[in-house]
Amino acid sequence: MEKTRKPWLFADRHNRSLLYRRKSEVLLVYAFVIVMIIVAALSSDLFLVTRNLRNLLNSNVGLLIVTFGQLFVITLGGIDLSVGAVISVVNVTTVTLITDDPATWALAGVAGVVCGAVIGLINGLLVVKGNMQAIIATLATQTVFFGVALFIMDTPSGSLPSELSKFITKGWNYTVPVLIAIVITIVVWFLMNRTRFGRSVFAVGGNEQAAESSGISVVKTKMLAFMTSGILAAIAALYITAYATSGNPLIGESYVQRSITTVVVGGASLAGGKSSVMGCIAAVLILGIINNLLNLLGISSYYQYVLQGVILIGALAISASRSRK
Amino acid sequence: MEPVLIIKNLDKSFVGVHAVDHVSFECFPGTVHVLQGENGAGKSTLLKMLSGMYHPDSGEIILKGESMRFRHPKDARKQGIAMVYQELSVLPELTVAQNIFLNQEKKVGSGFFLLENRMVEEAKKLAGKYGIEIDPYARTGDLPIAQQQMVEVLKALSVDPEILILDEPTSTLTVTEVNKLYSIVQEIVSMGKTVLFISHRMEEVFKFGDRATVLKDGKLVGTIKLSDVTESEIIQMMVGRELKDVFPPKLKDKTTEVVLKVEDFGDGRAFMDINFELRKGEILGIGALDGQGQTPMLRAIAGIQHHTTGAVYLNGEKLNYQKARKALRLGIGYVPEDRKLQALCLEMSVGENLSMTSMRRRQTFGFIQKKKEKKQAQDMVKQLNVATPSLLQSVFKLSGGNQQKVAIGKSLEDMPKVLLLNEPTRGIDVQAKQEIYKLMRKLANNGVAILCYTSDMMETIGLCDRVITLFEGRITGELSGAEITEEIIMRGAMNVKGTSRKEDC
Repeated sequence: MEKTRKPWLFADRHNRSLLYRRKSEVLLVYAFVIVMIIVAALSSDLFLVTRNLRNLLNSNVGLLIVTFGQLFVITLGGIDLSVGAVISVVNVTTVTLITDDPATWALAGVAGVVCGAVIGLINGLLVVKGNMQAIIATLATQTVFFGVALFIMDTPSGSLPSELSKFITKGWNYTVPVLIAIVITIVVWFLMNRTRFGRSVFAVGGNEQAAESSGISVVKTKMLAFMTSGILAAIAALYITAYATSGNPLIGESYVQRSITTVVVGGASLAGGKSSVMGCIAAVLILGIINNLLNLLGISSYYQYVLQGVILIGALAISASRSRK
Repeated sequence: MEPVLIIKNLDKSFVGVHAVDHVSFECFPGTVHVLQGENGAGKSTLLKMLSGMYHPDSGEIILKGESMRFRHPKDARKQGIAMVYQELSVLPELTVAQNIFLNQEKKVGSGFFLLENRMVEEAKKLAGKYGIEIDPYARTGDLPIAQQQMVEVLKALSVDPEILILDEPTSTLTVTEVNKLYSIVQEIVSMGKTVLFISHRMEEVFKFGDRATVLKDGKLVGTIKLSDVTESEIIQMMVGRELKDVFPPKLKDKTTEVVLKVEDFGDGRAFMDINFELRKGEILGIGALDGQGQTPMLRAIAGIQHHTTGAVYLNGEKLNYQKARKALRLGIGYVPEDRKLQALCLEMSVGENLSMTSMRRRQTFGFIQKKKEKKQAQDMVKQLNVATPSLLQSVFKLSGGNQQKVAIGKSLEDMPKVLLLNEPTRGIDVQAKQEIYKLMRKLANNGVAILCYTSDMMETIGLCDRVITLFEGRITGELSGAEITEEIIMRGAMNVKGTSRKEDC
């Protein structure tokens, strides 16, 4: 029996090369991450310093989690513009609920996640039952819930107990934020690649008709994808709140555009049916390194907006030139 | 009389298909000229060359003594050949007048402002000239289909063409509407214009037409005066092709076990009063020309589309399904006619596509059992002989034939008792076709009941154990054994009664 088995390196060679070809876009994004790191290290002596790298990581965990939520909806062929509003609502809600009593911490966390799920549910209902396009439906809910956030708290105020926010964003010598990122990545990767739900998301995004006639419930899949996006945006909001340590009704604004950028840079097609969890991580790193570097070099944050917009246009152009639809 | 239009050695090939093979004929002014032929005989390609949609590979179109080269349908219209397409192309939100003068609007001076009133006047004048009653102010989408078609006809007539091409104009019309169209066509012809006409309804061919040109496999069979021939003679001209593909042997013993029974099935529009039985291990064919309700019928049996009357029984049990999901679960697999649009997720891998229908059976608490999935997909790839380097290959990189195999394999994963195939060999090469034939027979021999529609009549003949013929949504006949000949199928598919002259003697 041992004799017939080929050396592992050659066993499935064709399979392997194909695997690489399928993932080539993701590898390309990682190559870009490495280039960025080299560029950053060469441009600033402060970049490869432990304190800076810690900062780089723990300031981007929030974006990573929102990105994962956006990933589900974009893979489905939709887009979720309401993630920013979810973050704002959850932020002001939790800050309002939390006191020094640890019992309120859990309560606020649960309340936040429920908020996200409910907004996701509303998005899903509008898209599925209301037959609206995702971009319009979530544009509407975004406006509504930014309004709600401002209603709950009209100016930045409130604060979190410092031991709570310190634990979440810096705990155990900065391992807590990394652990959060790793756990959520694993969960999301499994959801996307190893469950019926994830497969259905790809199938509906790839070809809705084919999915429906294959016995996949398109309605259920869409509802669940929007709810997942809402829930992940809410979890991101909890982290972002801990990082900011205070309430701000406009805190979520920038995350809409940034989460779409990272999903697309990570190799997803806006037409749906194609995306990568690992690509998302690389894309978040790219955006994070760029911002970090611009900060280190003391360049105005206005340029960050310009640059991020340019990156999004570039990624969209690449994605459009590749799509055959 | 001088011919107004001479078609000389017109030739057009697509990849692998000689669609129109050196066809020549003449049309005379003041006549209705009918084009006849089976599915894929080359009628549409020929008309599209005349209207400037396609460019001929060789040959000449001579209009009023002048050789024409059309680069665009606009050129053809300008020269006097206007076509009314089979699919309505009116814009529902515009008024009738706006539709008629679309892209040739009456304008002020250099043309920034439009003259709506002038257009309404012109539309009225035009309609009056041909005796068509229509309200130029009406929103086109509000009109019944027949009236919308009149808008199309008027749009074509607005350029005052010499030749008016009507591609199956009667397929959506009722009898009174057809009569109305007839009188309008007579009006057009009496002005010395020529009408080129395609219809699958034999009685209309004789009612409308003066002369007919029959095509077969892209070749010219002949041009005849319709007053000289009978319906049967035309059908005989249309048929008579050779069985050029090798088909696997048919069922020897007739099976009797009914798997699927369809009773008084109808959706009130595309198909009605459908009654037939599908037996275990047989391939039942649908003999029909394109668009006779076969696709909606198959989709309704598969639960993708709703039906309004009747019922379907699977193994004697009445099916109560609303969704494709339910039908699949009950054991009815459907392979749609357009694999790219309806069956496959092209960006996803072969393995993922194959396992899509049977996901729910290989899961624990929503988690996919990767190993089991891989093994099943591998088995399927081997069974169907799909040429793919790996299960991870994206489907869009496969050839059409292999894509089709994946599409079929997808519905086999759930082990159906009944398999509905719609155009299983469309757009794939001959070798792949033969493999599909073999596969279908193998499945049948394993006890799957197959109901199949293919637009290639020879496949229906070579492949099917029994055939039901369909005409305008109704079953017109059921054939088995030696009765399955091209001529008898065509009689059913065109709803021609009576015997042929050959049998008379």
